[in-house]
Amino acid sequence: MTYESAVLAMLVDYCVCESPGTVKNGRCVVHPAKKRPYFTGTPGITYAARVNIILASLSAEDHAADNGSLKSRAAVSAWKSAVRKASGELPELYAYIRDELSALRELEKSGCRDVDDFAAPFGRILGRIFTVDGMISERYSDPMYRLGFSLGQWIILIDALDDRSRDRRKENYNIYNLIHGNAALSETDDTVRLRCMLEAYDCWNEIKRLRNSEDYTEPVTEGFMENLFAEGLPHADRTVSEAAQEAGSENGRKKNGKSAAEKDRVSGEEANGPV
Amino acid sequence: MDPYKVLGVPENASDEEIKKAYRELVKKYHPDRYRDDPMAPVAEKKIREVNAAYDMIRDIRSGKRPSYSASDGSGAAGRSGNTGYSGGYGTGAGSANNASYGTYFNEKYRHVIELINGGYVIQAYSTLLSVPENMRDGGWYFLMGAVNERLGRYSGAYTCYRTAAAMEPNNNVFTAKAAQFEQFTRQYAQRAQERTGTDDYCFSARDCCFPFIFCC
Repeated sequence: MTYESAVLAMLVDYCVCESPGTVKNGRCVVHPAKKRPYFTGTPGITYAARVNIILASLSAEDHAADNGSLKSRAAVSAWKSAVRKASGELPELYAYIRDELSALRELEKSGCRDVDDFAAPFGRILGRIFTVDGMISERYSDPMYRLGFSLGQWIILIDALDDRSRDRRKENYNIYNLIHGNAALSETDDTVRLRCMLEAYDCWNEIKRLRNSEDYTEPVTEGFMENLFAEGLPHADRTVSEAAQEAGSENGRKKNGKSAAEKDRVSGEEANGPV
Repeated sequence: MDPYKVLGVPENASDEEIKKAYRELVKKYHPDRYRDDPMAPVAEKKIREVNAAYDMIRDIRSGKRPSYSASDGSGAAGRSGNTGYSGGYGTGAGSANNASYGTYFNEKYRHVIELINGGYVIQAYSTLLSVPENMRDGGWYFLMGAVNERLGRYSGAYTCYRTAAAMEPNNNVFTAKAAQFEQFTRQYAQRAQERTGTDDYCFSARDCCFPFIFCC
């Protein structure tokens, strides 16, 4: 399980009130020296592990197809059996993720410069993953979808920001480099990412209210998730933004001779509706 | 007007119960269901009442107005769509009543506002697109912003709101919405920073969420 799978598992288990999970202490392969607390035997953990395998395998397939690296091909080969099992358990989700990733690749290939268009496929992927068809009560579906959608948008945008320098060096697709060149991001870009995080936090609050109205004792994971959505996301965003700025955006802005604020000026032509 | 009676909920109903009742009534009286129906004017009147009642309850509960008895229900524009921390987001399309239409929007957008308030966002989008480009005024951009926001297209939403404000700088609703969009996000970031306290904060959500990226 990766860190993000753990968050998914906790959220799912949080919504599946009948199975809040139990915390045990034990040793694991990665940390054999010291006993650590861990969750076990919950539907969320099973689901998140399957999703993890699906995402990892599709990513490896994609990398293998793109550059044929030994590492990617080895991963595809090593995970074959696990992927068959996971995709067999979640065939619709597997097909959906594959299609949306393919849509994302197409956008990249076509040099997409629309932030909303670019962020949408990964938003939809996480939205779909977070609704956990049939496992969580219907009343959680809407806020969970919106939470996943917003989180997916934020993740792909912050990743693009984080990768700006590397993508510039390797001449890879990067939406921010396409829009701004070497210049710093605009106020709109920062506001959009913040809005995604705010929406995720808003959805989390809605989920929390629903959960607490069911008269169950507060799950031990609630504080962690509260921390994540209230503080962790903006903290991470700030850290990446500052690092990206230090990595050269400021120099680029000087070279470009045009400030981000100037570039951000709104005109009628810039205002686009949804596509 | 007793807004709770209009929505058919008790005064101590939860926000969720109110929202549910509101949505059901909007669906029930939505204009799309009464096309070519002799009951259309009645339904239209009813939906205005429902929207005004919903706005009134929201305002009362958020402290913007003392109680329903103190007002006649001519709600302000900027209906809150979501709940919780970001209260104040949503369509911002304004109350579906005559006061709002007359003050903030051209009458031609009445149907679009009702579609947005009823949750028919795609239809609202199609209707807006049918407006010729040379006829698109501040109201058009404002509502397109609301549609974009509902669809989670925040870049388009912010740009449209700002365009609306730039086109009609004397329209307080448009200028306030553009400022509010940015302001709420900043407040969220600011509060997070205050809560986090120091920069050597040990937990990073990025570490937590980034592995999803192996997929991107």
